[in-house]
Amino acid sequence: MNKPEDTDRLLKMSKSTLNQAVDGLDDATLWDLRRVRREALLAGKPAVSEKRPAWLLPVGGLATAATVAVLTVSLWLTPPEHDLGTQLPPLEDLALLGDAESLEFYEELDFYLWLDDENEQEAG
Amino acid sequence: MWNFSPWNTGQSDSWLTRIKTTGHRPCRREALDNSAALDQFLASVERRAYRMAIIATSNHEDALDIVQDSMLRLAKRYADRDAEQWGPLFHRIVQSVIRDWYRRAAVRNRFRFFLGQKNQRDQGCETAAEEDPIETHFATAEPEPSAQLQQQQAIRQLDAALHRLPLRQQQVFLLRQWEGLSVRDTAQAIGCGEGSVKTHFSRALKALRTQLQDHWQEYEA
Repeated sequence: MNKPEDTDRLLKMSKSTLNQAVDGLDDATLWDLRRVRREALLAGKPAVSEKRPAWLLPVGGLATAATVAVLTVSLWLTPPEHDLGTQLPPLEDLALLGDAESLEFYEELDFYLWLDDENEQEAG
Repeated sequence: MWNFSPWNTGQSDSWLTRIKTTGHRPCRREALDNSAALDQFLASVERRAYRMAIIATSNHEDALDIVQDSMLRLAKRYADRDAEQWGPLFHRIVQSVIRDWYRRAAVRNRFRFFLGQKNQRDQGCETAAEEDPIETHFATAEPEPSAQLQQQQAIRQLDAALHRLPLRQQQVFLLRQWEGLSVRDTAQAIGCGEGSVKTHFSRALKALRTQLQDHWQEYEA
């Protein structure tokens, strides 16, 4: 087996033998290989925090603080719902009170009604 | 010494770099696709990696550990690389893990040898030398008549012959002859010069020819 063709034959036979060995792996070994692959992929999966850039930490903190501040202020300024009903009548009263002429008209409403009756009687 | 770092061999195109250069941020969907692709890649190479490990260690559990460790390293460090780079990277990792296993085994064997000598002196009895399980199995195996069993015997003979080779020769032979790597890629995978690869391959071939010619001529006949 010292000729070039012998060497070539040895190489071919060794290659085919190695391939046959791979094809002939038993089910238990194939199952073991699947198991170690799954375990390696699970263990090798980088955590989310590992991929997050470091500069995102202060930015994230600021964003959280800003959100909390906005929520606090908006809650502080928003009046409670049960006050809405009591707030509306005073607003109407204020509008009526601001209109001074209308108020005088209502105060002398009886006089205007009597005046109308007098005019109708004279006409009749 | 040749720089073995994969970061120096190709374009650095990790996700972080891609984000910096293109501004494109990979979404969750992209990451999941990458994970599925890596799973597919590992499934396609795991059996050959296991066979290389079993030839090196001749132990099922050790071979599985080597395969798992290699997969873990690839998944942890290089999952975000392009899929074309996984093949060469995985070759390097497997060979590196096998070398680590050899170093640890050598230390273990030295320790066992020391303890064995001590026990011999203490007990004054003869103990058997360290036995190679593949060789032991081959020596005690019954003749197997069928073609399938004959094929299995050929596999065992080749495994035993490859196992007897020095680690470098074994790695070079498997990568060059079985995996079909070029001299340059083989040199990169095992971390030596191209001249060394040619020398190791030539010596491996010579040793295998000596060990296998008688057995394999029987099969050819």
